[in-house]
This record gives sequence, structure tokens and C-alpha cells, in this order.
Amino acid sequence: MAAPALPQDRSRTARRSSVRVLTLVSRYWPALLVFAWLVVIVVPGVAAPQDPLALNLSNTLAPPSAQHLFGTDEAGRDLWARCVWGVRYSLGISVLIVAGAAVIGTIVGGLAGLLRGPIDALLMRTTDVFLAFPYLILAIAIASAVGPGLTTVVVALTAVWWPGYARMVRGQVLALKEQAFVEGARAAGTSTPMILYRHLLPHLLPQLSARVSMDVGYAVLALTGLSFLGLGAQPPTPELGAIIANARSHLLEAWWYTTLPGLFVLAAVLSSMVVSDWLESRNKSEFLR
Amino acid sequence: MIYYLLRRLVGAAAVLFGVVTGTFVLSHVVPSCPACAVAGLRAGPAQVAAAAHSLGLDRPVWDQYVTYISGLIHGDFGVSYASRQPIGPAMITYLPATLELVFYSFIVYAVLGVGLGMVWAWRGNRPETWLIRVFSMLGTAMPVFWFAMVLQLWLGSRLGWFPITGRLEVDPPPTVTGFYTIDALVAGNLTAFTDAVWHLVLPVTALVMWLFAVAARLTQKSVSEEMQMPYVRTAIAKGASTRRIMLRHVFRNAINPVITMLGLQFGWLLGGTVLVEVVFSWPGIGTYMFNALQTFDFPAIMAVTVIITLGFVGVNLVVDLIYPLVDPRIRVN
Repeated sequence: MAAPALPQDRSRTARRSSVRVLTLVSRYWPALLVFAWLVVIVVPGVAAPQDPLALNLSNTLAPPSAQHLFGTDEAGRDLWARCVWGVRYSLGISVLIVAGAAVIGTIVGGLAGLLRGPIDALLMRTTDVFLAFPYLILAIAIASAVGPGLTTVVVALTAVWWPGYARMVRGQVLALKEQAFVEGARAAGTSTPMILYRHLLPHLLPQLSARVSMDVGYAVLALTGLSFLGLGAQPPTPELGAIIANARSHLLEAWWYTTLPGLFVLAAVLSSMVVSDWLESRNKSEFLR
Repeated sequence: MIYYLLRRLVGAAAVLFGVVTGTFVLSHVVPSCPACAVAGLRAGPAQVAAAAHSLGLDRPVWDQYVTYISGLIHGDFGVSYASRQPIGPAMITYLPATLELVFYSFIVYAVLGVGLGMVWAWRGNRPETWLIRVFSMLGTAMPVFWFAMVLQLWLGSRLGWFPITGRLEVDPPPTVTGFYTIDALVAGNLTAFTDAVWHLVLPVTALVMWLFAVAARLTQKSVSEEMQMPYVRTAIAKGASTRRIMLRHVFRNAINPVITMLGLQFGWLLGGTVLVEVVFSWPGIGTYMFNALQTFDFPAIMAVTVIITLGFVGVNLVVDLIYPLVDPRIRVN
């Protein structure tokens, strides 16, 4: 008796499941964005089959075409491929930098907040000195002293970025440590590092993750800036800032060389802002629940 | 109040000491062989030793540190490794160009950022503020040097509206302040004035576009939070005009975080100016630093670092001193 209703039902469930997929996508699309960038970082070859280092001196500074989507550079290398591989360097290394800075900052800030006293004062005065420099200038000074190269830039930018995290985490820890569960853990004989790791870190993570994803974008800007000044990636490494620096000598003859690689940086930074906003709104809605 | 001022002054002095020590460590301790950079690539051990001796790099570290600090106190930034000339006078030639660029950028940025931020807060996320939102998003996400080059390429070269590089094409006016715009006005030289302004347009646009979002967004947030307050409703009920409510009531209460941020942004501006100066070949300390980077001229790099950081610390100190003036609550506590 229920047989005639069956096809209708099936179409309804089909519609429902497609609606469900759509709601999932609309709710989690920033996560998809992260996934897409991760794919580009891990396997750039998927998005750019051409070799970013292959020279072709018979086809230098060619404008964008079907074969070379972004045209070619002064050595005839495919710019699209160089930009896609550039994402691996610029975005991938920025993720490393910010992750490193967040870990160092969390440890320093967490210990300063929990221990207080002279250690706190010393650590916070140190962060004061770091924060007294305009960050780009400090990064330039550190990078120039260590000598140019990608490792240098990682060192310089991590050094510039950790104090911000230390400040933020210390503030949160100061607020959290008065809570009963910290007192309880301490009464049970838990060591200070363990309190930080097991009891405080879960409370710090939501805000940390939003800040990290925002800072990845800023780190991309700083990293490409240092490379632009010649302190970061050295030729022929396809790093976005270094590519744009090379384009300076061909500014007037090849508009694509200057204009197009920057769009990749723009897209990467915009994505980091979108993801950060998304994480923040999720944090807020969790509080409301 | 006096306690507040004293604390800020002592804090700034301590930070400056840390900054100076930091730059000393970076220029004298971290580089494995600063004398090698001076002596050049083909120098043998004897030449490197001679270079180290002539620059005092063979003396004990603490001795170099004392010389460095006492030099800085006397305004002596040491001798450039590359040109073998004292750095202080070079700074005096390059600094006005940077200051002129930073000064105009900061003014345009502060007025536009705070002004449009208020409009944004007042009108909300409606269609008419769409442009502000898009620009603030794009501005933060663009690498400033890239945007500068794009401006240079499209507005400067392709359309020919603005000059591509430099500060001036005509003869510079006699130096009074070092700001070409002001010097030209003082000399009554209108051609030089318009030319100087014309050269400023693109670099200032690049810097303002880059920072604009931060001011606009923070002002918007601060003002719209303040607009929720009960006193605003009371003022509306009493029949005060929108203009009066926004300027006399809301703005004065919302301005504190904005002032802090303007001070911090000034530091970003000083950092970003290096990148923008390089693109536009602007003859300021940013370009000077860039040239020093190519030759590992540590004293020159550190001199620029110290000067820019001094400016930054100074501005933040001024911000701390302005607080009590704009906010009576701080004067009482």
C-alpha cells in the first residue's frame, strides 16, 4: 500500500541530502579553502604541470597565452608554475613561522603568567623591547645580521612574532589561573608545565587559532617583503616576493610579470583573513551555546 | 598624574636601552665576520685583519659596546663599512625625504581612516559603505611593494598621470626644512611645489591604502560599540542633532583605542616606507638601508634601525602623554 509513495520519498531524500551537502559546504567552506591551499603547498604539480625552473631562452617575457597562463619571465620560465610553487614557499613557510612563534609565545607567556615574580618581569620586559621595534625593521635588521636566505627569514620573523603571542597568552593565563580548576590541579600536586599544557591550553586554543590564521596572512606579507628586499629566497627559488622583485627590472616591458604574481599573495592573505573570521565566529557561537 | 608621566618616561628609557643593546648585538656579535664584508670577497686573512683593526672590530666586545653607546649618545652612528664615511651626516641628507613621505601619508591615513571608520559605524553595513569595506579588505591583503609597483606601472607608466620615480624633476628649492613641498612654498616657487606634490601622490597612496583598513575597522568597532551606550539614547531623546551626538559624545569616548592604534601604525608606516621608497627610488633612509643591505653595511643598517625605532618609541611616548589630555579619566587615576 505504501508502494506508490516510494519514488516520491526517494526524490525527497535525494533533495534533502543535496541540501545537506550545500549547508555543510556553506558552513565549512573556509575549511575547504584551507584544504585547497594545503594541496597547493604539498603537491604544487597538481595545479601547475610545468616545471617552474625550466629555462626557455627562445620564449622570454612572453605575454599571457593559452600555453602560459601568466606569461613567461626573463628566462622564459612559466610564471603560472613559478607562482604556484611560490605559494609553497611563501605560504608554507609563513605557516611554519607563525606556528613556531605561537608555540614559543604560548610557553613564555604561559610560564610568565603562572610563575609571576621576577621571571614574569624579566620575560615581559624582553617582549617590551621586541615590541618597541617596528616589526618589519627588526626583521630586516636580524635577517641582515644572520645573512640572506630562507632560514634567516624564518629566524627573523619568528623572533619578531613570538612576543605578541606571549603578551596575549599571559593576559589570558592571568585571568584563568584564579579559576577553581587551576587551584584544584595545583592542590593535587600537578606541576606548572603540566597545568599549562593540560588545564590551560584547551582554554587558550580557540583564541590562539583565530589569531594564528590571521597572522599567517601577515607573515606572508612580511616574508614576501623581506624577499623583495633580497633578504629571503635567493634565485632561482620561485618565492612570490622574489619573483616580484625580479619583475622590477622588467616593469615597463612586461605588465603581467609585475601584476599577476601579486594576485597570488593577495589571494593567500585574503584566505587567511576569511578563515580567521570564520574561526572567530565559531568561537563566539560556542560561547553562546 | 606625575607618577603616570614618570612611569612612562622611565619605561621608554628602559626600552630604548634594550633597543640599542639589541642593535649592538645584531651588528657586532651575530655576524660571523663583519670585517670580511668590509674587506671584500677576494681579501686574504691579512687584509681582513687590517680591516678589522681599522674599524676597531678586533677589540674586546665590551669595549666596542662602550664605544658604540657613547657614540650614539653623541649622535655618532659610526662609519659606514661601504663608503668609509661617517653615517650621521648621511642620515641628515636622507632623513627629510623619508619624513616628508611619512608625514603626508600619516595625515592622509589618519583623516581618511578615522573619518571613513566613523561613516562606516554610523551608516552600518549598508550598500553605501560597501566601497569602504572592500577597500579596507583589499588594502590589508595586498603586499605594499606590489601595490606600489602596480600603481607605478598602470597610473605612472601606462596612463602617464604621475611621475614614476624620485621626489622632483625641476631644481630643488633652497633648503629650509628639507620638505620640498614646504621649501618650495617658502621660496614662492609654485612649479616646484606642484611637482613635489605630484611626486608624492603614488607613494602616499600605496602607504595609505596599506594601513587604511586598520584605522577604519578599529574606529568603526569602537564607535559602533559606543553608539550602543545608554547616554546616546538619552542624547537622542533630548533632541541633540546627529552631528552633535557623533562629534561631541560618541567620538570623544571612542577615540582612546584609536589614538593607541595610530601610534602603533606609525611604526608600521616607518617599516613600510622602506619597501615603498625602494620601489619609487625615493631618496630617503629606506632606500639608504636597501643599498646598505646589498653590501652588508651593518653600521648603516643599524643606524637606520635605531633612528626608525627611536622615532617609533618617541611617538608612542607622545601618545601616552596625549591620553591624559583627551581623557579626563586617566588624569584622575
